[in-house]
Amino acid sequence: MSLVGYDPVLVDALRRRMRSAADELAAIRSSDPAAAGAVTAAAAVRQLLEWTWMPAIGDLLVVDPLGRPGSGAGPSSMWSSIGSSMWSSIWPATGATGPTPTNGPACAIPDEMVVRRLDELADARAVLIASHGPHPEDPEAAAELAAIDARIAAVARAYVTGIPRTGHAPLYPRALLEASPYAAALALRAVHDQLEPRTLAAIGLMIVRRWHANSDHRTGWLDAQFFGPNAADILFEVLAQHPDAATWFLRRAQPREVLDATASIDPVTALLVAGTAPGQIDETTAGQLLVPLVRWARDHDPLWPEDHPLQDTPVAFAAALTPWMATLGPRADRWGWDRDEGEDTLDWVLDHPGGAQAIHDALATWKERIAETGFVDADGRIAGRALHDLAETLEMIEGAFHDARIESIERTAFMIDLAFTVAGMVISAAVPGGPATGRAVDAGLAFATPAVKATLERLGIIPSPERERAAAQADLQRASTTTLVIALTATVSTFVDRGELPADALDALELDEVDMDDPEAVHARLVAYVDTFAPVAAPATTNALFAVIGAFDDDA
Amino acid sequence: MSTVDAELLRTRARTLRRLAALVQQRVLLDLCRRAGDDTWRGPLAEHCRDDLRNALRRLDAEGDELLRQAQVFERRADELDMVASLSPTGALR
Repeated sequence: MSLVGYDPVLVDALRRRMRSAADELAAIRSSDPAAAGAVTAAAAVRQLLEWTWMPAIGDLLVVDPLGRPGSGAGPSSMWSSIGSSMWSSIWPATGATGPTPTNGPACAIPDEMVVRRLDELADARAVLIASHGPHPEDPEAAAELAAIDARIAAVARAYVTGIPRTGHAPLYPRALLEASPYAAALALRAVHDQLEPRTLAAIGLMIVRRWHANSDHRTGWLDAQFFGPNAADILFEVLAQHPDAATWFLRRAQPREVLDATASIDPVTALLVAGTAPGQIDETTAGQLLVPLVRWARDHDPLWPEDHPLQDTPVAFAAALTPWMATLGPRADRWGWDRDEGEDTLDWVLDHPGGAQAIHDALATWKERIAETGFVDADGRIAGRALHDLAETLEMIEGAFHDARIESIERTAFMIDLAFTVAGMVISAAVPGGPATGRAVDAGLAFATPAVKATLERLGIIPSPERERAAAQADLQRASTTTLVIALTATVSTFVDRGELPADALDALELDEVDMDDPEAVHARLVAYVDTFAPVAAPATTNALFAVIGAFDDDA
Repeated sequence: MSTVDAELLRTRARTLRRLAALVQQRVLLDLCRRAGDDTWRGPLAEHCRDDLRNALRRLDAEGDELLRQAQVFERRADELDMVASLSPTGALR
């Protein structure tokens, strides 16, 4: 821990010396082109002194936090302890080491000083970004931006650390509610780790509300007038690092406060994903948070100009909705809407050029979620309803991709990936302890042994170099049927490996002359195939295979 | 006797040397000393010292560049004078 403090006499002398230095630097002028660099450098240094440090030191002297009455760290106590230097242990800081702290109580920096300083720095940042963009290519501008950010962080940390604590009351940085939303968001970015999630979310909500209150037509606050991360962008990225805070924020924020504030959709995506992740909340709560947002976004969708960030809102929802995919279809009632609205929402997401890719990118989360779903009932039998939901979800996704005219090749790869995932779930239920149990399914093709792959290629379920791609795509039109074949093939392979079925069991599986678009025909063929094992296999083995088929039976 | 161009170059060199002296004056060094731990401590003081040190380095470098450029001008002036002295017409005087 180090100290923060100052000697007002010496600080004032420093300020006056800065004034004379700035005047001397102002005299450095020349029209000689060879002197251009030096003249520019002198002007920059003069600006640094006049715009940054003289005002900052002036503030310090005017407010005089160590000397103000009631601070508990008045001059007399400090001067008496360490002679002519005016030091006090007001807050811990990094960097400089200082003399031994006095025994005086902690002293907070006055809110008004913090607010004024943060606003000055935030305004300077906004002006810089307005000229150079959020990521300046000019090295000097980049360095200045970094310096401003460092100063904002230092002021915020010093302020928060200096707030007097009473009992177990959570830390509450009240000054951030007085500063401009941009300044407050930048400060919050530096101190969010020190706040409790609810405090962070509550302050974040108030910051966004203030931003909206003075931001009609996006012209109110300074940060609303340039292209780059504004207060809401910064704030949402901070909240996304704290899922509890993100959830709390989403519970209380109005849809407009979430969806119509940022300059980019990425922070919105991060906030939605963090606050509504399956590990964070249950299915019902996810619906309570996401459905109003989806409805608001879809209602306003046609209203936004082409360059408005809300144009990309479907991408944000693709990431947030994918883990809860079944609630757009077979489990729609859990979210209090009907299946039509759920499927329309999926279509809305896929209508966006980036929607399909966003769903694909979020697929891993959905896999994790279904991997944690129980597919075996208490009595040890396959949970047909859960598997049905999966199969129906798969078919709904395939249909939506088809309707959205997603590139057939992309769709094929996507659906194969999905089918293997669902098939893995089935196997884990049918063959406890098999290769696809538990989270091994996350690997997607973990159970796809060479024998399984060869059989699936032979049957035309997955594309092979020998087959026409178009034919393979046609075979994937019926997603649940495809998934059933994959699941059954892999399950048979597992039993073969265990010695519970003959080694050539897979060779007997034929789908020639079976219309893959006719689920009943496929089911009948597969039932007949499994029947052939009855004389040679244990009843438990054939029952497990029938259970796999039954899980994908539409009439079950 | 010097040529006109050579005189112009020497004039520019003198200007740059005067400017270099201004740029490299000790004012910032004095500021750095005054902004030390005896005056204040903490994050703000650290940032101020960093800024002042960076500014000092930048101005020193610019001053060095001015002096280097002045030397270049003076050398070219000498070369022009030498060429002129070798010329039979002594042109460009």
